[in-house]
Order: sequence, then structure tokens, then C-alpha cells
Amino acid sequence: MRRRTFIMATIAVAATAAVPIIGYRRKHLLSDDPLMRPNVLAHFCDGDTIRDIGVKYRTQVPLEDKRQKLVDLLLTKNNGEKVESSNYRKVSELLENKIQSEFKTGKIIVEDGWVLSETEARQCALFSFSEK
Amino acid sequence: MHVDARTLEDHSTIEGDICIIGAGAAGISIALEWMFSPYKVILLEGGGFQYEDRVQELYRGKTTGQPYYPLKSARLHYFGGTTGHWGGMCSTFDPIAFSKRSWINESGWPITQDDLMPFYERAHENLDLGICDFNLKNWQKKDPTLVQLPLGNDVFWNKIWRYSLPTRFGSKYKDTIVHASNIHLYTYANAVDIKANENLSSVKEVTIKNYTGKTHKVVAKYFIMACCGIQNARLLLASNKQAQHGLGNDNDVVGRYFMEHAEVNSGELWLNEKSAMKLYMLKPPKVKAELAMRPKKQQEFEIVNGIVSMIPLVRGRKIPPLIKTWSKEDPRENLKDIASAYENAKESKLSRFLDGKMYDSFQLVTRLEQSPNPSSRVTLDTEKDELGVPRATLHWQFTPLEKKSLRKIFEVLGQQVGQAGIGRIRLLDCLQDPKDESMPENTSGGWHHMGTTRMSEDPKKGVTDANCKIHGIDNLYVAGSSCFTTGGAVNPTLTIVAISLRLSDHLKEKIKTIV
Repeated sequence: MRRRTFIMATIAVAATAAVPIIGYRRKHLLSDDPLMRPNVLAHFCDGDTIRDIGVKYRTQVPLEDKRQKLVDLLLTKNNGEKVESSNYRKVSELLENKIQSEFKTGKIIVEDGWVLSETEARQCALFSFSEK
Repeated sequence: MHVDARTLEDHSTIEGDICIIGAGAAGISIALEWMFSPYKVILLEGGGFQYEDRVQELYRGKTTGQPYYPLKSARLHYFGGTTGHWGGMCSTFDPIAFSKRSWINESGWPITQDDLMPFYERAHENLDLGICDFNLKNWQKKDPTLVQLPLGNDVFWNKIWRYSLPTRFGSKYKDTIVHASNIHLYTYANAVDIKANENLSSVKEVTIKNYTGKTHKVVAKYFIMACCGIQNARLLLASNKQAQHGLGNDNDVVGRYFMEHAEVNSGELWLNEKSAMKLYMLKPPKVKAELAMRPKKQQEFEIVNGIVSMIPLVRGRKIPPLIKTWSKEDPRENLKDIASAYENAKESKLSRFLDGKMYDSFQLVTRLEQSPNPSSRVTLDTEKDELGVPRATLHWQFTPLEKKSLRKIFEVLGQQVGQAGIGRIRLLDCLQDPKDESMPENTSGGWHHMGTTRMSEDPKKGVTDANCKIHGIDNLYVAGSSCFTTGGAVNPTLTIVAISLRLSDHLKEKIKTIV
């Protein structure tokens, strides 16, 4: 309820002003693949920054410094069940839920100063494997 | 009445019931309490009624350790004291500030917030603060647009600030004090020595001097030192003719535990949607909130208290740290530099119009409590001032706890912002290395000098008792922030006035017992 109040109080004026800004940012979306697109962070950071975050994460967590390992971790639900990577809608839902859950339980990572959920950090790491 | 001590005959003796040394917020607040009483109050001020560089020069001193402001410009030395240029931000110390916290060395006051609350209310009048109300909900009823960030209520809360005019004690109370028949204000009366009786259990007189070369003495039943955190300690340490290490310093505590508020540019808040964040923006004379961590969480993480303010990032990034801007010996020049820095950081009118005063990114600044540290201290230098008093040397030193606390506050804030789904937090470079225990080079202070004659029931851990009386000396008291056992996370002026009023009430009761 409080969150809704806050959002309602800020969104009204912001909506009109934000449209062109969001439009501009959308042009800079990293990838259509939700596995490589940390949505919230992409609002604030360009591709190079996200790539840097990803590289740092891979250095910090060498066990996950493999493309397939990251994909597997990202696509695995908390109960161990896997989601089909080709279904973007389901993958997006899964990632959003994981991110929300990780912030709630304190599964956070500080990378390049950004306080991120573990899943977001892995998305950055996966993106960092992609070519510039 | 007012007497310019330069005009007195050399070696005059001034007699009264109460002698207050120092006419700043603490000293003047106490003097006002004694007006119309049957007691003669001597109020000593080292300077005159306005800034004079020769008087200000008496405050010059050295600093070591964490970089600090030049001591000469960190306080004002004339009637009204540093209220002559303070910002006016007031808030109460939280209950946790007074409590014993096992994870913080030497924490725990001998009094509680409840003990101070009646005096906080009275202090509102001295400081022109209006009603004593720090409840966000009450302010939101008056202005529903004061919307708080939707963070977990059990983790962060909104600490309310009130704004004084800011009240300049010098201009506001000069006529009142000067025309009070029982208040005897002596200007150009610098206390340079305190003399006690033979067994050092009671103060007999205070020696005062000024740059005319004249020396006088003040004799009173009670003496109250209200010269500020650094000068109170300096005067006690310099009163060393009878006690080798200074008066009231049998246990080597005077001057130790110097505390400031570490003001650090710590992080950035990036919002998914633009917001005016009206509740958090600095808009005197209205209220403002800053984010504070709940006491239970401070306990869980074993950290000191810290509160977080915000400023639009577009402005915040252009404002240099205060420790860099306030670098000159002349406080007037420093004020100009700060005003100029803020002016340069302003956005253009067009930019503000286009943004509609809404922003999606904010710089986050922490005001952090400093844990009591005996190595952070005021000592005497070998160099003396024009009146022959050894100058003060300040060694400002943090412990690893402060850095750990800073980082933890921002990690948790980042988690809360992420959980709320409103954006993300970015820690600035200075907080990114968890192994780095040092405070950032750009750490500024709030010009808040606390702890150097701290309260404690144990004379080995504090200079003053719960009534601000110096241990072992029956008629020497200290008023102001040097009595603070811990420094809290908010500016000290409101608490300085409150604690001074409490001391005044105590003395009123005590003086009745003297025939």
C-alpha cells in the first residue's frame, strides 16, 4: 500500500516527462534475451558498464565463469525445476520472481558499487560473454 | 549589564554567584534562565559582539590524523558563538544514542532520552523551533505530499529535522542579556586559568585576560565552562599549575574521546521513475526527513548510527566535499566558498523547468556517529597563543567500526530499495572495498566537537557526572557537547541547549542549599 502511494505520488508528472527518456533508453537495451538483460539496471547503465559489472562478477565468482553454467543457474527455479529458455515470457517471469525473492532474503551482491540481486549479477556476467 | 573587560583596572576582581565561561548557545541559554533571579551571574565572553581576527586567532591550533578543518575557523569567538553562522538544523538524539551498546566501546550515557525530553521542549523556544514535534505522521497530516520512500518499516525509518531561523544568539539575545540587571556580561574576558583550593576539590577563581595585557580574576560559588568541545578541554588541560596534567584530569580522560559526525558522500539512489522526493529535500523552514536505520537493525549488524540525506545527483556531483571547501583560517572566507560552491552546482532555470523539479537520481550523504575512541583527542601544543595559553592540537581518529557501519547501511539500503522495486543503490568507490577499514579521504565533519569532557558515572571513563559536574570538584561544571558520552547521528545544537537547561535547573536546586 505504501509503495503504491509513493508510486502514485511520483508517477503522474513523471509519466509525461519520462516517455521520451524511456524511449531513448530502450534504444540502448542490451539484448532481447531476458537472460542477458538486467531490466532495472539497464535503465541506469549502458552496455559497457553492464559488461564491466559482469566481468567483475566472473572474477569474483570463478565457479560461475562459464557461459552454460550461468544459463543453467539463471533458468533454474528455487525448487530446482528448469524453465525452457526459448519461452521469453516465462523466463522473464522467472527472473523477475528470483530477483524479488533475492532482495527479500538478502541474497545480494555488491558489484562495481551496485547493490544487485544475485540473479542480476549473473545476467550481467552472461551479457559480458557477448561480443561488443 | 555589560562591561568591556579591556576598560577595567588591571588586576580587578569580579565577584558573583555563578560564573559562566563562554557566551555561545550553551552559555547564553543558561544565563537567560537566571534572569530576574536573586543571584548575580557573571557571563564571560572572550571576544566582543562581532568578528575580530585577533580574537579568533586565539582558536588557532594544529590538527593531525583524519584531515580536519582549520581549528581557527571551526568555531566563532564572539558573543553568540558559532550560532553566528550555523545552519539551523535541529533534531533530537534517538534513545539508542544514550543506551549502552555492547558493540560500541564506552557507549551508554548516565542519562536517558526521557531525562532530556522536557529540556528538548524548552530548548525549542531558545532556538525558535516552534512546536516540538518530530513525528512524521503529524507533518504528513498537514502536508500529504510529504511521501516517504516505501522501504521496510522494520529496517529504516524517517528521522525528522526541524529548522531554526537559524537563531543567531548574538543578535537575538544581546539586548536581553545586556539589560538584565543580574546578568553581568564581560566581553574581552578570556578565561586562561582555573585555580582550585589546596586539595583541588573546589574552584576558587578563574583568571581572565585580553590582549590589552590586563589580567583579572573572577570569584564565584559555581563555575560553568561553556567554551565548546575543544576549548573546554584546552582550558582544563592548561590549568595545570596545581595539577600537572590539568584540572579534573586525574584519570587522563580530559580531551580524549573527541567525536565528530563523519559526513560522507556515500552512494547514489537511482529511481525507476522520477520523483520530487519532497520529504527529503532541504527546504527550510519546513521539515525534512533523512533515512535512519532502526535500532534493532543497528544491534543486529553491530554498527553505529548513521542517517542518510539526499540531493539531486546533477547537483550533488558538482559540490565538492566540505572538507575541501572549508580550508581557510578565516571562517568568513570559507562561508563564501561554500556559498559559491552551492551556487555553481545549481541547475539552469531551463533545466529545472524541463525536469519539473523531479529527479531520477540522487546523491546520498551519510551523517555518521563516531564511536568513542580515547585516541581521538585534544591535547596541548608547545606553542602558546597571544595570552600565553598553549594552543590546542586535535588528533581526529576513527576506528574500523565507522567504515564497517557506513558500508553496511548502504548494503541494507540497497537491498531495501531493490526489494521495494523502486530502483537501485550504487555505493561510491570509497565503500566498494570491504577490506578497506579507513575512512574516505573526503570525509567531512559537521563542525560538531563532542565528547572531550564526556559524562560517565565512572571517573575513569568520563570527566563529568550525570549533572555535568566535573568528578572530584564540587563547584565546576561543563555545559555543551563536550559532555556528550556518544555523539548520536544528528547535529548537536538542540541537545547542547537542552543539556545546558538541565544543568541550569540542577544548579538552581543546588544553590538553594547554600546559606
